[in-house]
Amino acid sequence: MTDRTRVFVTGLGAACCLGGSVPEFWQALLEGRCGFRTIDRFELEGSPYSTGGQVVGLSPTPFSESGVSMGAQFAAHAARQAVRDFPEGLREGLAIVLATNFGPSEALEELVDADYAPPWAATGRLRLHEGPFEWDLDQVAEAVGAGGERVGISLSCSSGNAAMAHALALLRSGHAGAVLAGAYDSIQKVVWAGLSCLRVMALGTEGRQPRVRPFDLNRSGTIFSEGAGVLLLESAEHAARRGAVPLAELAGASSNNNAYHMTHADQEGRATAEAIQRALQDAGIRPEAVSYVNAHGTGTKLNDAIEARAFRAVFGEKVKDIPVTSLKGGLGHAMGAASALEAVACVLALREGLIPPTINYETPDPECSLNLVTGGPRQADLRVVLNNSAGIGGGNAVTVLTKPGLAG
Amino acid sequence: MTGLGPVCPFGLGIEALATALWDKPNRLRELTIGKPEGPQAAVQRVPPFDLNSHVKARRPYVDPHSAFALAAGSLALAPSGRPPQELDPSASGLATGTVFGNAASLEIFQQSVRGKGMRLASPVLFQHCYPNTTNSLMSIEFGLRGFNQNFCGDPLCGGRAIQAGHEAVRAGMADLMLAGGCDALSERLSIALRRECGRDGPILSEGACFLALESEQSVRRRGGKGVCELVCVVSAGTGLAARSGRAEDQMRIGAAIRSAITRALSQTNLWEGDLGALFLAMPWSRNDPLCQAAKPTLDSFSQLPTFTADEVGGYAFAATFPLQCAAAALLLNQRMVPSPMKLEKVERGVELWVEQPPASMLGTAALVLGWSAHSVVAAILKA
Repeated sequence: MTDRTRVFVTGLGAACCLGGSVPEFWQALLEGRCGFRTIDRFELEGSPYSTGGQVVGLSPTPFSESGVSMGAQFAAHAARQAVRDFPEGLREGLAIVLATNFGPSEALEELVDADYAPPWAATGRLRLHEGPFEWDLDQVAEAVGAGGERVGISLSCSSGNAAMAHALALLRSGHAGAVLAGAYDSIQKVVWAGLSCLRVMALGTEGRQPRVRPFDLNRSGTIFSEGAGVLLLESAEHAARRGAVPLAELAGASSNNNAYHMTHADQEGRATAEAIQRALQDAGIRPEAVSYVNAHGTGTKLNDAIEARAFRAVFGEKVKDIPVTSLKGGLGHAMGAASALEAVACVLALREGLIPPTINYETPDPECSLNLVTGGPRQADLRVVLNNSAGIGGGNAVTVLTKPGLAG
Repeated sequence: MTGLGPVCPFGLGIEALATALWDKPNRLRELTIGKPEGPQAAVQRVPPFDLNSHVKARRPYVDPHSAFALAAGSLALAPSGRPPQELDPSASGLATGTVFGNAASLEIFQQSVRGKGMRLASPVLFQHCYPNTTNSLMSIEFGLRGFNQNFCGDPLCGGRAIQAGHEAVRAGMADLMLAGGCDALSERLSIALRRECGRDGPILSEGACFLALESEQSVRRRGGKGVCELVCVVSAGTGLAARSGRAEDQMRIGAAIRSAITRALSQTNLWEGDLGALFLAMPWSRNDPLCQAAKPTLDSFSQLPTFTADEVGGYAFAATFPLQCAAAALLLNQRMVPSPMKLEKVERGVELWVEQPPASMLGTAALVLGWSAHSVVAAILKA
């Protein structure tokens, strides 16, 4: 198997505030629906940040009852969807690369509260020395019967793309023939307290619920959500051998770090632009060939402007012609799961030739002068889609998805 | 490999690691056997050090996990410069691995949320609670703007970081990669781990180890020198989706280990006779099912000097695989290996070990091996 082994997407799975399945998720995106509601999972203690995107369509059980973190439950749910058509007989070699921002935060909360000696410790079912991240991986692997190696990754809000980048490396270099790659996160109290104190979330105004307004002049912050997005990736040879029909090709990926500041990139978005350029180089695709960009677009003042500058640096004058969307207006910022869920949407966009709209966009911002898709889904002949993400701590990760067989 | 940055209970730097290998291999064992269970016997600690002598940025707060990793990264990059001289920052990257992340900060943050409420949570402290905080701080400190990845999972994640670093350099995605693992254990976590592993279980410790991996062209361009060559890193699954505890599980794990070793050797055009030493990134314990699973395979290497985590500062979770790589690199350089200690006698729970003279390393390569119930990572280093 050569280093340039082609890698195809052959399965998809999703669980989020817009739906517990891929069709529900996609339909909600096309309709421009918003998945936010008042958080009811824990006591908010009067916090002004009471709105979030909790997963619908599932009834997760708390870790304290099931011994399985909610995030892992979301991931397992999505993983089962992704491998629905993957033969049982091949699952022994199926590897898993799963990423998360806050990971098993529920389990960690319980461990810390109990001095790492919770009541279930004596059963030996969960081994502390293997680490709580591994527990989540175990759950997902058992749920789908995957016997290949398990890799956990955490690159904050770029986690999903980072997982796909690593899966791509494993497949290209022959370490695996099929990989379930994705990311998950769940809204839990301690994490919510932390996210609240960062003061990056939007607050409601004039009796209105808070909104995420990516790239809008009057944007005021993001709203965090939860969920899981999982993609089944296979080498071309592996897919052909079992007669799988590729949904898309994962043509390239990259990840880097701004090496600048913990909370924001440099004003010009240099490292963001470099990550995009490297992903395109990795895919063997020129910037002008990109048909659509799924932006990170969190709806925060600083990051949206920096991202827009990075796009201009990469695409130059052509940036006016390339349609751009941020899905976070309706999906929210699903933390580690964000770019994985958005990758699922990118694959569907490629297949159906439809770009979901950026919702809540009313007033253009000269700092974010992009060809935003708004008002409703846009039909387009899509061949190359770029999925961009950036995270706290400066991690960037980008994936390039194409119609199968297109990349050079 | 052009730089080694070990941080372990014997201290910081190559000299401390060499001490662990050559001078006092029985010191840790004396500390852990025969003592009543208590915090001082739970894990072996990295001794206090001045982080400011290793980093340029002054920060009001740094989690111990980040402190270990920053020191280790600084030591590893010392030969090539900080930031790496004559290298484009976007061609210099970072791959990190951790099992527990910034556990100490997370504990403090959670306690403050429980005690003071959500509205008084500290944003400064919260930023030190992410699993990727240490990775970010290292990128910022050392100006590493290139390829980046952060592995969180079982203790093999330190090996995965090295695999990712190796692959990034090999594939031309980076000229230099700082790759390794780190784990720092809070007091409460260390007591719980000790309880889980048992008083007579493996020596547990904490620490960090980072390796500077550079392409040959990059080293030549700046007139540098390599410590040794990291020839390949392979990984594989064992085929087990769940643990059943059956005997077949052990056979599968053993077969996966054998397969990974064979694949690693074939990728490097080496054969078993070229190996001069074996380094196991495992808490070796005779009764542990994972160790028993590997025994049939490892018996075929019984003629090789073998080093477990005990000999390299204790089992330091994500830092263990990189520490074993660093130890391998040191011994390959010297072409000598410490001989195993000989257990003379056991008196009232205290073991008396006797030193043996060092021996020449017979091969030109070393194998570093780590495994879990689900995955295997194997690396081959060459002088």
